[in-house]
Amino acid sequence: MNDLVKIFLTAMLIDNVVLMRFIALCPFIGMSNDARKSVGMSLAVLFVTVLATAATWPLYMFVLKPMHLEFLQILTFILVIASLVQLVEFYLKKSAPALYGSMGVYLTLITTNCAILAVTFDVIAKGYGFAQSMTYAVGVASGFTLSLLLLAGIRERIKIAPVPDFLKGTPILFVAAALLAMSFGGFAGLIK
Amino acid sequence: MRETNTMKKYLSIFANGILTENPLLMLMIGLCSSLAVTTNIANGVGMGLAMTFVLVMSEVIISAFRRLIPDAIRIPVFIIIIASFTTIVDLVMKAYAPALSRAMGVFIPLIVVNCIIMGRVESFSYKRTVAESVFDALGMGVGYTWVLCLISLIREFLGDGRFFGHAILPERFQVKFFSQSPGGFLVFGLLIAVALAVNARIAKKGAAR
Amino acid sequence: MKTMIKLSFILAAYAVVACVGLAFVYTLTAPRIAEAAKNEVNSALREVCPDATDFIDVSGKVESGSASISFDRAYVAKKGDAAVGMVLQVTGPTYKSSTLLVAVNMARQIIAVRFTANTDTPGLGSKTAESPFIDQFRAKSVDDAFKAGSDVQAISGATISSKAVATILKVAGFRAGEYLAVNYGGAAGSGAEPILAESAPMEISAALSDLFPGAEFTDVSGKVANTVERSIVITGAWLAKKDGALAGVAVQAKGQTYKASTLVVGVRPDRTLAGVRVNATSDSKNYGYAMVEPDYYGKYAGKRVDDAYLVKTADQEGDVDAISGATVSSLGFANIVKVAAFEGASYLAGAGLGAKGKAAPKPFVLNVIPEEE
Repeated sequence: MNDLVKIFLTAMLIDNVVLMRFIALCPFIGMSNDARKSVGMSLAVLFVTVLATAATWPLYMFVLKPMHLEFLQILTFILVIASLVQLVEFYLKKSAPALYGSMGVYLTLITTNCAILAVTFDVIAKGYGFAQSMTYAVGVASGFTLSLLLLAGIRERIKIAPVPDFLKGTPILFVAAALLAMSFGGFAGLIK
Repeated sequence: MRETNTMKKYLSIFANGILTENPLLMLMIGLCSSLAVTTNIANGVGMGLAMTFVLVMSEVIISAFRRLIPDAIRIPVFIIIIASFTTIVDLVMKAYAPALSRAMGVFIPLIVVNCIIMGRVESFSYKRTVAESVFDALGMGVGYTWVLCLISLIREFLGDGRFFGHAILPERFQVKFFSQSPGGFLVFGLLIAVALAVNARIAKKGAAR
Repeated sequence: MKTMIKLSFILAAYAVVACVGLAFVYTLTAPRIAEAAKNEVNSALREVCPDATDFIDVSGKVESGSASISFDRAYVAKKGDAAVGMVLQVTGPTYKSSTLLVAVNMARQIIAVRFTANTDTPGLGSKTAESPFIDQFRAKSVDDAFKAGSDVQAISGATISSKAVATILKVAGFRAGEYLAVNYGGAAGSGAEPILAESAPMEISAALSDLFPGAEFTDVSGKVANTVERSIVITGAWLAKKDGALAGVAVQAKGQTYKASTLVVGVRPDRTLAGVRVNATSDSKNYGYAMVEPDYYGKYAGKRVDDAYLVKTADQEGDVDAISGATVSSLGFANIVKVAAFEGASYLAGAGLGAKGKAAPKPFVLNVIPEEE
């Protein structure tokens, strides 16, 4: 249990997927201008990340590795994720329209979300067991959500702040991200 | 006469990727794999070349086969092709540059979800000829690589005191901030600001004329 | 429907072509990748064994003989066809834990040591990975004693780390030397096996027969009570009879040490101790846990029940030694022994089986265990 808590906190804070590892920057910049969009995107990411890890981990452990087909990892993982997203979207549209309304539209954008593929690769590289992989996936998605919501909040303030002309638009966002990343750097050493 | 026109067309496609529609600074796609590897120039160049290779090969194959890829299943087919070339790059790097491969870690496989490749393949090479695709891919690749190199140079110099791996700045002038993630964000943000300013100048000059 | 099947076929066709192509590239690059990995391992190994040109993996063929020290990997170093030595990657307990590479040559000497992981305190225990501490092992014979204070110089302020590293190197070096001697014609050893029998707490029956060898025991638990000190609980007592004659009584008592320990104290009818054995302890390894070493508890054998049992520390004189670095444990240990011995002797005296002593002094003087800071 202790071990799982460590993995979760490390994934969410210390090795925050966006601010410390630079992954999933596209939606980070693109979605954070609207808090509601951010929530929708985060839910979708959480959902797909967990599902994707649950699907790819056994695929690697019970199919690719025993058959010495590790070199097919990139190909199979991305295809699994893409198909999974399609299936989920299809299923949601039909049976849970309310849920689809809140996050379904972001699902298509998620196929190319670096974070999800990164998570599926990470759990293999780190040699995690299944429970650990799930915890890691949830941790990473939570970290993504946290950073996205934080930046969305900051963007609200930026709208009414006196930003120098030179930095107006995207540059100031990156400066804000830099400051956010610095504060997250403070989490280092949280877990020994 | 037609020869030079086609050549001009190709060159303009090429130049497009380097400046006007620079994927990182202008279009702001493909950010994922980028910033993380810019801690030193070797990684930056390595990533740029790897990405360019996958981009060129993918655009070429998809453009060559564009009539053989049914529209309904084009996305999965694109994925298969891009993933295959990414795997090839990954394997070749592991074999011939293992240290670099390990330094880049998960970011090599992440090339497969690099928005640049998917974006260009979908919007350009699926509809254009092979030759055009080659120039577009090269342009985009070079555009990507030079920005990456610039960021790497700055971060390596200010953060580690090195220039192309050679120690230049003594330790007390090094600002470790730049080697860490906040520094990456900052340098990139400032570069975008510069690019936007340059673009605005050019637009102003063009309008004034 | 038909279009769907046709589309699936086309998709499958692309997938198959892709897989075949990748398999092809894989077979081309796989040997290169394996070699690159091997070269990397070899260059790390060559750092400790520079003369070698190649390394043969013999991991799993050498055992450390110790539960806490593990030989992660083992390689025989070769120069051309001749063996020039052996390299072991060892992980073992130091202050926390360390992993190191140690190379031994054919003459049973350590060539070099390199740490690959050391989680000990930075600036203290971590210095065991650096010069000058690590240099003293160069060209050292694996048959030496590797004892801090005699042939190994410990780092002041990092005794535990220093001793532990010396032990790890002794074990690894000795085993490597033996393996080379047996399999590759290396020099034969003259030194003794490293003393590794890990001491551990004893089961009651083992403790009883160790204290009173050859005796038969009658359970008299409940007849021996603690009258002098509430914090120490007497949990068992056995009367020991050997060849019809009373040998003594063994009293099991539990009390506070650094955490808590249960000891078995053997009391002879003449109010001397047959000895002390450790039944259980939750004190920390490398510290109070050392009480399970025969070297330590053996000091109590032969003491009189009425001795002071004050532990020699920086603050007080005493008649018993403390475990180095584990004063609190030692204070607690002495207290438990004193109380158990006193009550055991009182029981024997009360039953007319043993010598009578003075009544319990009030207050019953025990070592004062300082509060946690």
